[in-house]
Amino acid sequence: MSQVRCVRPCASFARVLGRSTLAAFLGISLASVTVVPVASATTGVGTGLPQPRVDVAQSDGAPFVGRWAIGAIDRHARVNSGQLMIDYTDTEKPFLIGSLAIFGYDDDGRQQSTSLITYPFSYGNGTLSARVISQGTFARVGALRLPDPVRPDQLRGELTWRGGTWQVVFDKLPPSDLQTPLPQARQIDPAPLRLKHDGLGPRDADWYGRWTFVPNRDDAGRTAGLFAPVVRVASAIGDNAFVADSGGMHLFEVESRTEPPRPGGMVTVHAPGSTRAEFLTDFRWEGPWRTAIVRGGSDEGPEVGTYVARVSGDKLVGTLTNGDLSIELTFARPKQRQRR
Amino acid sequence: MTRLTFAPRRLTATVTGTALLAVAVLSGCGGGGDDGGGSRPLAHAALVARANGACRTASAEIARIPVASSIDDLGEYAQRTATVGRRLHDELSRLTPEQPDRTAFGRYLDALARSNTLLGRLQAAADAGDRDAVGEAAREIASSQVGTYAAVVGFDACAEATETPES
Repeated sequence: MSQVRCVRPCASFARVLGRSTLAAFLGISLASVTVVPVASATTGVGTGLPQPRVDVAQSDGAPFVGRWAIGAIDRHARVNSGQLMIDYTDTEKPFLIGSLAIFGYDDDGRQQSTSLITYPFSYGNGTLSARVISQGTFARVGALRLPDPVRPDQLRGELTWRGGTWQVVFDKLPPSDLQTPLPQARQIDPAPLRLKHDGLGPRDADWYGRWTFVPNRDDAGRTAGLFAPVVRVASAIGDNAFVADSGGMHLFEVESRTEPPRPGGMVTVHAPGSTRAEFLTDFRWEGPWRTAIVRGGSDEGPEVGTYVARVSGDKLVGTLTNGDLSIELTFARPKQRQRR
Repeated sequence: MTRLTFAPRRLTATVTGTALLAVAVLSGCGGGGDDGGGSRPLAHAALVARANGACRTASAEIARIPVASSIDDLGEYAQRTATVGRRLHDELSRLTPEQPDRTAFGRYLDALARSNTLLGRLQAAADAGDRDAVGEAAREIASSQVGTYAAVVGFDACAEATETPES
């Protein structure tokens, strides 16, 4: 067993937190900053983290308490995985504090791990907010905003860090399991909340026609040859995911006697064991972004989700969300009908 | 009405063609009725043709297996796929490649055998209802790279990721 030491921020942090909480934080630190072995704090020093001026009531903070893995994050954040732990301190007057370990890569593609502290927290208008500070220097390096969770096992919010504000989704982890490797964060394409223009683009007609499905390079069965189907099926079942392996999209003009023509769409995707057909309406665009409302059953059916895509060359790269289901989809024009 | 005439040039061509066909059958198909395996190594083209044929048959068989839609029927799906995989392994194991192909061919067979073993593990995980183990087994099968090794030896039909049939 390695002899370990505790540098100042670690010891400071240790003093603030209770034993169980500390153990978890140390686990995170061990996992994230392997260059500095960490263990029991023996050098008693000040906390370095004073009682925050604003308290977050236990009733407001409770839904956020726990261990969370970064399940999805804006692909531009250059983050592969990460872990957030939020808990109240064991101090006389408990306050909310968090530890954020991020594994990613820098501009040159070098692997990077970063340990951060989220502190102090404040709560208002249904949103929990905190500064993101460096664990080494306590300098402010970003911010975290987490609206009240809709689901108890998931937090959706924004992380401001490294020059950008990134949409991020945290999935709940078991409270004490520090051995399981963190899942790879799904890379998502965020979009502005409401795009400026109606339609598919400056000329809707440019987008009409058939689009073919482009298999995801992450296709689990890609290298499995004959066993690709069973690998895809098992991956989907094991990870509880919908892994599309074929399909297409058709964009067309919807005519109406009472309203001007408007674009509509139909997406069909096949996955091992199932096929989904979704209808797209209410297209909007701004720059490279395209959004649509997903409707069930028909183009006049109930609103069941959203489609968010980004134009990338001759492809539409996006995510279709229907309830809890989120499917990453890339479509391209068939080669014989390339868009001008 | 067709008139039958004696045509020495056509006869020569027919005889030549028949002879070439016989040579092709004897060499390309392993010769001497030893089913392509045994002591006489197969030339690369013949080896590829035999393997691709076997893989096309196996792929069609796998495509006919009803696709599992839940963990409850995943075990049977894995087991039936493994049955096809083992049969394919047995068939290919009877082939003897020429020296230049032996290493790559051997690696492909090893990957195929490993995948078949892992399909058994997948079946057990599914039967136990253990989703984590199912996902892990799937990742291990994928990392066996059986398709990649097939591509290396030139077995296109074995390398191509079989399209998942609809249930």
